[in-house]
Amino acid sequence: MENMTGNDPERAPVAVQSPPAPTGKSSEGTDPNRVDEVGGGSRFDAKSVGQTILKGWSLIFLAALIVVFSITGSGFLTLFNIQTMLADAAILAILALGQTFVILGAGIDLSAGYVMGLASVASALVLNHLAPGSSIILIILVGGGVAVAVGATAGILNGAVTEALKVPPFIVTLGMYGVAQGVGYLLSGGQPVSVHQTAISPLGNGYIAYWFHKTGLTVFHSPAGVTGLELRDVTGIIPNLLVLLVVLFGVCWWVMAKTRFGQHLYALGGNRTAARRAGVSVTRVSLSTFIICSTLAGVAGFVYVLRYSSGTENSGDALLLQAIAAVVIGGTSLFGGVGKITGTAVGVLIITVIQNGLVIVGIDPYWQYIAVGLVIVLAVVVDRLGKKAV
Amino acid sequence: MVLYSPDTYDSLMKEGAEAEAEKLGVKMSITIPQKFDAVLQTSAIDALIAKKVDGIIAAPADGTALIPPLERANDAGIGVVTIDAPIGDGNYESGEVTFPISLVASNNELAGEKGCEALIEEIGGEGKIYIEDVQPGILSSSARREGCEKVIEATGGKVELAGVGYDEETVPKAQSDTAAALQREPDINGVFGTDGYSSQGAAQAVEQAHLTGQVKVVYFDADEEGIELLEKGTVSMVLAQEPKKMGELSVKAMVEALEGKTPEKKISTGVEVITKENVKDPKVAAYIY
Repeated sequence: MENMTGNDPERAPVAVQSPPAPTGKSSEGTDPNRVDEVGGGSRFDAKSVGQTILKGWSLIFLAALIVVFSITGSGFLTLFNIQTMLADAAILAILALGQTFVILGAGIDLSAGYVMGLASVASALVLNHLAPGSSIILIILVGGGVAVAVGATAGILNGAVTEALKVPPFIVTLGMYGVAQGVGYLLSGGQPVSVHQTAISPLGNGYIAYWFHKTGLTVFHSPAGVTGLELRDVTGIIPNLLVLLVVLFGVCWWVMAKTRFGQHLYALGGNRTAARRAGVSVTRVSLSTFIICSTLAGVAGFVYVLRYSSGTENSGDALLLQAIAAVVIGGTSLFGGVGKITGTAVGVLIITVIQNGLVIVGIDPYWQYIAVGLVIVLAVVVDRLGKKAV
Repeated sequence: MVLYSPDTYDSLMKEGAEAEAEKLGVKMSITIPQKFDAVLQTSAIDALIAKKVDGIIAAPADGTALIPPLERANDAGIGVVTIDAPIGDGNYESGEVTFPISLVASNNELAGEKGCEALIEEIGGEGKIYIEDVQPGILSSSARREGCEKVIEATGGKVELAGVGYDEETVPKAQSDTAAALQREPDINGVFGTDGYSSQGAAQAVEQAHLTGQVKVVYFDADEEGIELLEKGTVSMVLAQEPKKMGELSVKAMVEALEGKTPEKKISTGVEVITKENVKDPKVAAYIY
């Protein structure tokens, strides 16, 4: 990786420029778009208009998908669908947020899916040791704490082996993939661990507020005594998981765009050697990306427990490649140094909207695979075109 | 209808369901997630709730994790039938989960018992049996494994369990698991695979160890591969499920319920033991998929 990016003259300016940038103009310094301006100069011609379109293509594509599905799929553009779609996407989104850090630093984390699974199993087992009917606060502190601790531990190991022993992250995290999977199966005894805590499901599947025409607005719990057919008229407003997602997204965005660590991360991914020469502690930054990624995988594992009242070892397996795909669709380069957290959010939304929309429209399942596959390749092709245009 | 993942078994459930839907004149769409995964199934189910379909037939990848989304469907007034495997403890009369209309599935524990009884008979009532299972937590294949384990236990030590492997839905893993077991315990004389992949891998391992005939293999699922291996003599018997019939019966139960009737809570489909002797019998041939 080091050599590949090191020979790329296009990326060098970021690394040299970013580290000394004082906090006063930090937002400019961390903006990866600056690369193009430094490299190509700012000319306002047809070329730069085309470039803007290429850069914003994922957002345009997302908008187009939403328009098409709104017209063709009945029930797509409803409050229920938009909210459940976002809540269902929460786990994928959290994994993708973590993966963005590692990929920006020119690494990759293949273990995140099974680390998430292991965290969900560990968290579920511990929650079953609490007294049944424990309070939400205790559940979040203990269950969430265990899941985060499991994630952080895996991240420290991933980062330490990668950095101290100079093993490529692809191999290290592939090893952790197996280790986390095995430990998870040993802990769970092979079965999904059902969690017997009544407070959990309302937390993971519930909404901040509910509207029912007879009782008005109730906060945090579904109106009491409403059952059967009347349940259909209860409208949930803002899924709890969406709040968590927005907070995590905000924190990640802030770290990447506004902090010194964020600047150093772009420098590391852009050109490791140059970053080191410019005084960036590349080892520390790289180690941190693995810890952030795995810790977020731990959070995703806890969210899985909340939403499904179950801890399952392979719960994150199918989502790992989707998360990496979301990051790439969002414009982050697999070689590191280029990308934004907002891009990842758009990438997650594109995958989620395609999956949901194709089911609603009732398209043959196998076409769905083709659609997602094509979008990923298209993303990279457009990304390349954008770079060539510089 | 929301199924597991793309394979022959799923496409047969799909085929059966589509045929029945056409016969009854109902409109049906089918989703098969790219991987066997509860999260992917949940997003499909939520999309169907948003679409306001009348009923959802689901093959649950995880009996616990699929409860919340299917409960959401039920709360929205959508009928729920599970196919091939249950949610909760599988007792929709008085168990953990009672809202689904029906469970349409093979009696998997019985299938495991039936298969292992035949295997024990084949190995002459004593020896060591190795089980290659799919993945921990899949209720259907786990029930077959448990059925088999029960029969082994009932022999009172004459037949021993040599171990259990998990292939994670890949043939190569099943093969390497079984090969390692045969290496470790050369006195194994029976192998039981709990689904198509695990059986296929197990059979290949036995063949490559040149133990064909000495080690008897039970192949679960009567797919083309299984029948071929049966005719070649690599496997001694094939256990046939009826995925197509499950597809049919699940649609039938759903439509009945939507018409206001009450279908049975548990609808069981059969399992047939196919051997080299009866494979040509037309009655048995109907089970082959």
